[in-house]
Amino acid sequence: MSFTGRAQAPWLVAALGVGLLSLLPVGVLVAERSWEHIPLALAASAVRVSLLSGGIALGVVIGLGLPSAWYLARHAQSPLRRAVELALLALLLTPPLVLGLVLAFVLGPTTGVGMALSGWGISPTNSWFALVVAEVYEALPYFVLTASAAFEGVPRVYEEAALSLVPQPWRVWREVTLPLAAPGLIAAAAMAWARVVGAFGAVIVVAYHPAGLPLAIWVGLEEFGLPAALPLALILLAVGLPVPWLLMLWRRSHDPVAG
Amino acid sequence: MIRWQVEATHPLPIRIDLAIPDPIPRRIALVGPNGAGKTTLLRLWAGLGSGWARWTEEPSLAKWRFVLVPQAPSLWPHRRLAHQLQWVAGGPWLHDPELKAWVERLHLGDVLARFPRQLSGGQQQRATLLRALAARPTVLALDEVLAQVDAGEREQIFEGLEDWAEARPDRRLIFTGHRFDEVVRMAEWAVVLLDGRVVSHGPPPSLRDHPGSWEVARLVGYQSWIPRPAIVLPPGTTSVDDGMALREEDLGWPTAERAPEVRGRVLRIKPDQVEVEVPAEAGRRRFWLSRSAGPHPLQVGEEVRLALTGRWVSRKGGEP
Repeated sequence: MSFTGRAQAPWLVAALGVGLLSLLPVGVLVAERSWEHIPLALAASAVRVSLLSGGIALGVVIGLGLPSAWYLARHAQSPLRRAVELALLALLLTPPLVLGLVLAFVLGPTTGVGMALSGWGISPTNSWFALVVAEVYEALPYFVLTASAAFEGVPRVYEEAALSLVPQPWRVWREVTLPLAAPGLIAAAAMAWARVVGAFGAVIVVAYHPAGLPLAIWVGLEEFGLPAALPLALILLAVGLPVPWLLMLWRRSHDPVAG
Repeated sequence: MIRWQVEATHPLPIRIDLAIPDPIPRRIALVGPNGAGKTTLLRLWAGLGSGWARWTEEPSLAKWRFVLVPQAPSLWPHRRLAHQLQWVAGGPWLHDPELKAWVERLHLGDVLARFPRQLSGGQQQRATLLRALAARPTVLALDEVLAQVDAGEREQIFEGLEDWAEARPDRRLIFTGHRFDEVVRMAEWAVVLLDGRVVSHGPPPSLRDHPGSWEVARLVGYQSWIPRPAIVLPPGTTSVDDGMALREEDLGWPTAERAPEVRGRVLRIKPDQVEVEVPAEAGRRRFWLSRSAGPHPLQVGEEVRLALTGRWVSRKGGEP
């Protein structure tokens, strides 16, 4: 009898439980037939804002996070790594609302940073800039810590063999390290996207405008009540889900090791 | 001789000052038990690991291309074998007749399109070797690479590697092993490592004949050492009776290391034996040393140094 075939019941029960818990929000949204009351104008603009700002924020998160995650993974002994890791954990533990307050404090129109940004023609709060910054802050620690674990999971022997055979670090990184870390990196990117699209706490403080989906839900709830908010939540799912879902599917079909 | 110095603390404290003939021998073996530092040494040679390594003088093979084939499976799991070979070779590689011959020799022709997980352990090791050759190294370092290949086939592969090393003057082969009989056959120069240091080095036959220490003797395959007491004659003495006396300059290990030096006095001299008296824990001890015929400078009452000399024996009785 195979290992997976033996005594499956407890695992099955747990998995079913998790599945049911996860389905609850979607179930409620669907049961309420909330798609019948979508406020179209608000929804259209919110979707546009969420996708655009989210795309930029995800780009920034990956652009900054990927190299730093690799550095952290490959310098286990360095004091810089410990410091950065600690800072990331602190960021992870900071409630998004507090993050927003801190950002407002730093980016406020009267602060040095705020004035410098204004000088360059960038509005420091309630702007696309502020929205992207808030989203990046909410997603970055999740991405870096997960991606770093993914890089750490690549056995050193593959990289070392590659460096010995092809002494070009950049090629080795691209052809060996990156593909082998890809499954974990994809999970990290999927998680970052979820954080970016769902970013609310920090966003509501520093970037009330332009309003992405989470904020539009809040506005809908405040102004029109639950019947207006729930449909927008459904849209948030519809917008947010495809990216991580497709990534996960792709990862399943391209797993370099399990195949 | 040129010297190569290495120091590292991780993963094993290692401190090595290795003398190697220049030009560097074509086939070098690193021998030692597990944990002796062979892998660490090869990794430092390849520029991996933390520590420093330097030549006291540049070897005449200044521009070498060192490729290390590590002991752990290192085929990249996400690429087919053919893809890996092409990537390493930097382009189409099957035109190279030497590599083509190696594909045949390593019996890998049928599995080039496979992923590493579809290969057996022995196939993976052979494929790793092929991939290393595709990188066109001048120095090929093999760390226990063929351990999972059958003995007969391993022999064949090594013959091929010897030919490979002979084919061009700048090619060198470095490999690790813990079986000295294989080393004797395949290496021109052996370095014996123990606990992160070099305990002996030289041409394998001379290491076999003069292990020099228990550690080396055990690696070579000797089981015991049969001691014979002998009188040590002063330096420069020419008339030596084999079996009884030996010249001071002939004293190698273990005689020298077996000091405490014992001093004794010659009591009686017979044609084939000499009686010597030495101080012992309880009083004095006398014993006869046999000697073959011949003139010697000993006189009754003379004070002599005594030492143990001996002979290495393997389980079979003689050389291992």
